[in-house]
Formats: sequence, C-alpha cells, structure tokens
Amino acid sequence: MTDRSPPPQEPGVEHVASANDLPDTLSRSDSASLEFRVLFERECSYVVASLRRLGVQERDLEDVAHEVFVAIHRRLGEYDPARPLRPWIFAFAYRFASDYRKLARHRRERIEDTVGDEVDEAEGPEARIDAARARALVIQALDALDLDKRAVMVMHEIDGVPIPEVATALGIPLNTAYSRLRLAREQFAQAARRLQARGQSDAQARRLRGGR
Amino acid sequence: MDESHPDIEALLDAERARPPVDEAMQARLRARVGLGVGLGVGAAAITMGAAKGSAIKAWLSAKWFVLLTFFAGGLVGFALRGIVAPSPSVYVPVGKDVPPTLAPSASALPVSGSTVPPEAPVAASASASVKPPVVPAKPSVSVSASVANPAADEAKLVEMARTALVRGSASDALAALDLHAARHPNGERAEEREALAVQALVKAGRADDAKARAERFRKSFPGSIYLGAVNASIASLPP
Repeated sequence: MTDRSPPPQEPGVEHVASANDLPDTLSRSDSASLEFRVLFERECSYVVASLRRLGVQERDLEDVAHEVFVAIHRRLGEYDPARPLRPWIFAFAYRFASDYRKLARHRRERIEDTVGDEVDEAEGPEARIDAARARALVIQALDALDLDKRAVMVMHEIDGVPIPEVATALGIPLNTAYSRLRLAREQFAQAARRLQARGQSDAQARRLRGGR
Repeated sequence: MDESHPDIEALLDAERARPPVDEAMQARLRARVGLGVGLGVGAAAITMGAAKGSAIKAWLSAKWFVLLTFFAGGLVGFALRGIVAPSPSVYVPVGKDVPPTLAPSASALPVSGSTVPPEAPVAASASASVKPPVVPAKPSVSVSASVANPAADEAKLVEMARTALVRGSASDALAALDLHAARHPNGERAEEREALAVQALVKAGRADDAKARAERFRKSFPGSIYLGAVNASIASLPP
C-alpha cells in the first residue's frame, strides 16, 4: 500500500525562500487534495445543475451536493483519467438523486420552485425571465420521467454525452440506454408540450381576468 | 434533440445554457467540503491518513478524519448559511483564477494553451530570496525530467505560490513561481504561473516588472481566463 504519510507541515509554504528545500514531487495526498480542490471549483455548478435536473428540489440542492462531493472526495483515487470526467461525476449525482427520491416526502412533492434559480446577469430582464421560465419548464417536464430515463435524457440531451459513455457511466447495457433515450424523448416532449399549453392557457386566463 | 420539434430544442438550449451556481451557495459548499482556509488541511488529511500503516490506523485515520473533517466542514457550512457573499476568511482565491486543468492524474479535461517563452518568467521575476534555479544550463526538458512527476510538481509549486500570495508574502510566491518557470517553462500551469507572477510583482511593489510581465502575458495568452485578474492587478497599481 502506498505510504501517504503527511509531510511535516503545510508543504513548503514557509520555506519557499530556500529553493533547495522544495520537494521534487507532490505526495499522493497533496496531489489528491489539490485535484479535489480544482475539481470542486470547476464542477460545482455542474453537480448542482445535474442534481436539479435529476429531481432534487431547490431547497435540498446544497445538502445533496455536499453529499456528492464528500463521496467524490472519498473515491477520487478510483477515477480513471482515460475516461471523461463529467460522466463519472454524474454517476455520483445519479446515485444520490436516486436515494433522495426514494424518500416518500420527496416523491410526493413536485418541483415548483425552480423559476428563481441562477440568473445570467448578462441577459436583459425579459430574456432572463424567459430563460428562467424555459429552464423551469424543462425541469418540470423532466419530472414526468422516471429517474432511469431522466438520467439518460439529461446526460445525452443536455450534457451531450454520447450514449455508449452514458451506458458505461450508469452501468447499463448499450441497448437499454438507447431504449431509455427513445422513451425519454417521447415522454419529455409530451410533458413539455402539455406544460407549454397549460402555461399559454394560464396566461390567457390572466389576460382575461385583467381585462374585466 | 428531434429536428421536428424546434420548440423542444429551444427549451433544452435554455437548460444547457444554465448559468453557474450562485457564489453564495458555492462558498457554503466549499466550506462544508473542507476547502476553506484551514479546513483545506483537514481535507488533505483525509487522503493523508486514509492508507497509512496498519488496518487500524487506516480505519482510524480514514474514518475519523472523514467524519471529523466533514462534520467540521458541515458545521462551518451550516454557520455560513444565510451569509450572502463568500467571505475571504472562508476561502481566499487570488482573483477568480481557478486553475484551468485538473492535475495530471485526472487530466481528461482540456488543457489551455500554454506556451511561454522560457526565458521570460525567470528573468522578469528574479527574486532575491531564491537561489538560482536548480537547472538553467539546459533549461526546461532536463529540469522537468529530473522531477519524478512533473505535473504534480507543477501543481505543488503553483499552489505554494498561491498560498504565499494569499498570505501576503510576494517574495515567497515569486520564489515558487521562479522555480516553476525553471523546471517547467512550458508546463501545463505556465499560464496560471504567469498570471500569479503579475499579481506577486504588483504586491511586491515592482510596478515596472509587473507591467512588463502583464504585457507579455496578454500577448502569450490573449484569451486567458486569468486576463481579468491580471488586468485588475495592474489597475491596482498607483499611478
């Protein structure tokens, strides 16, 4: 087993003035810690967005994301750098979202609180609202899918992960992944159109009420 | 998704373009997973202890470090809930310059272009506190070759510089950056190194050196994500 004994102190910070004191390489532990830090900074938004897309509600996102990162930290040494990083991360999000959704209280509630999500300050106010509505509608339409189809849909259609990679990350046969994708697309499109139609009729009703 | 449903595709486009998570949540999460200042050591300790010595030691170090560190992180994160902006006392990045790539063992991510003239950084930021780098005669290749794991060495030196800069010790930061420039003149972290060097020179009060290096940086890395930090650093110089 590799010796991961810690260096005597915070690596070299106090001794940088003497270049010869610097170790030639990072210890494995330092390296892992730095990798995790970089991974966190790069992928925090991705993890949160993935959890949201997998049905974790707004108010629980932070807690579940915390659990995901704890698990990633523990398993970082198992990551195969020959494979793309995001599908590997997504698999963690998928597992925790699955556990989360098994709780009855989470199954019963629908996601209604996603309009007030992240805001792109670069857009104008109307465009921001439209984009936020569209994102909320996507999340609601995804809510019509079971988690297995939802995961395939999110990975492939939103993250752009090729289906063979989706199948590997989720640990399912390739044909199953394709089958889930086909069903997910159909169900998502139906749900999105239903929600759009409902939104339009609601808007019409509001206009009529306002006109009276 | 389906070309016959442009409306659905537009919806998906909106979701694909979802803005990043807000800074407040990210700061709380950062603290909760032990990446705040101080707690970062604890996070490192998880991996340090995880495989050390006997099974009991491994169990103790891994399990208890994980539990204690994340419990502590969780407490801090919980305490931070409701605080709107990330506090410098929790995490003090230099500018917003997140390293562009993962360290090598997880380097499936794209690497931003990094071609810095080998002589430039070393000459520009020669620091009084550092002995001449271990190599110069046969610059980059031989120096890097002498390091068992160049990418890890790069990460370490850059992290040292960043930590020193956060501590306010520009000379230590420059020393680490000089060493990086000597060992890895065209390394994966060269772009990050040059950005940090500009900030360190500014902090050291070496305005002319900082401006010259910033100029070289802009030419070498015109599309760099660190440009904002470099420009802000130069802008902070007294007229």
